[in-house]
Amino acid sequence: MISKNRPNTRDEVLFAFHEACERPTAEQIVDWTEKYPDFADDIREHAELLLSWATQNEHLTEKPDEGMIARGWSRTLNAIYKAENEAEAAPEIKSGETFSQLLDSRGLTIPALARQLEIDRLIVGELNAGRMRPPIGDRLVAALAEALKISSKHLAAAIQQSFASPVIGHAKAGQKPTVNAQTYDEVVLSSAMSEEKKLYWLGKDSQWTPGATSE
Amino acid sequence: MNKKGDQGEAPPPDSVDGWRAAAVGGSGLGVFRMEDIVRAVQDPRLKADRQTYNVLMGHISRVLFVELRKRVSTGWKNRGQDLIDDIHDTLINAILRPSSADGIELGRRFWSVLKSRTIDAIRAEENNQDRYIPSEIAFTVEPSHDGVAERDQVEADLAIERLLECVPDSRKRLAYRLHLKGIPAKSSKGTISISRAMGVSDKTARQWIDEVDALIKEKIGDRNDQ
Repeated sequence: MISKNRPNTRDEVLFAFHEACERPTAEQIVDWTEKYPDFADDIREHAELLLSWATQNEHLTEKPDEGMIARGWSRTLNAIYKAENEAEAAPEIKSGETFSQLLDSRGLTIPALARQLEIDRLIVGELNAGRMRPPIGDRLVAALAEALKISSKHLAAAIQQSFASPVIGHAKAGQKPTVNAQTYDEVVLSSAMSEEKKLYWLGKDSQWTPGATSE
Repeated sequence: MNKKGDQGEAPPPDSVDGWRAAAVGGSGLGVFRMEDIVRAVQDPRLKADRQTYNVLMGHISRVLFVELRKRVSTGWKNRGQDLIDDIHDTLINAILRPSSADGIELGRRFWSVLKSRTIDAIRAEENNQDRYIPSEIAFTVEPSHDGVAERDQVEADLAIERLLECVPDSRKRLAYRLHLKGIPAKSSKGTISISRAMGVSDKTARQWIDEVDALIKEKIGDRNDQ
């Protein structure tokens, strides 16, 4: 049985290995390769270079010169510019388009998007129905923007549009139909997700991240 | 740079004022965990203060270059600069895309991702063996692992490193490193052995160590003959 939060992809295993073994011993190599036989060769390759670095870093202090640092900063500025341009160049949404229309235009359904983001479909559903009061959590904004290939600004506009024209619930006898809008935090907390997932989507430190082992 | 302990309390990722103060503070950003700095630049609110955002991104870029320079050998083409640039750009691009898998992980365990991605890039480059030239250093020094007093251990350690660079198979290099640490080649009940760590038979483990020994002796011989 896979325990909660046990790494299971190559990257997860190797990241965890690096966290646990700065200078791997023979015992640690045996332990990790036997625990994760599918990634044993990768673990050994990484262990080999870690041991090499451990020796060299003790005695050699190769440092980049300031020219190299300046070139690095120039490359970073280019990367920032490119990332911002990509976000701006993301498909425009039509003026007044709601979140629901945004999903339709991309051929996405609520369950499919929820599965992709590894979030409770209730949250996407409430957002879609305009029953979630903005602002929504930064992690969800970032994940939605990535999934829908849209800038955060345009996503916020669509969410705001949905909130302004919510799906009205069924009216009870003798009462007007009502919309019970909730905050993002309230919707997340009322979802059926695990506590760790809730913490993650609330922007707090969590053992869970998207792509982590299923619970 | 201290990577684990003794680090300062970082402002919350979305505290523009907190990070602005930190960026101009006398202690510098080096007192904070890299994960905290990454999460701050990934928070959309920090971009509102472009100057602070740039200071934090500049710090991340500098740390990446310093750490990569320590880890990427100058034996690679262009003294490893091309490799360093590639890894630096990959990690910066991941940070700039907060919902990407590596973007998330860099905000959780920066050093593990840095080391893992660096090793992956070096391994990929190793497939192009002709690009690597082992450093010209200390081949005349007989490698030693028994702590002999008459020889400078630092020189001996580095000599071993340079000699091991000439061994193309990383499995054999690891087996030999374990051998140098005194790990036995053969398995016996309840003990850790090189064969067990490498997942090979006792015979293969012994053979690998003998092969590397022979190669090292040959290299030393070649150098001494010159």
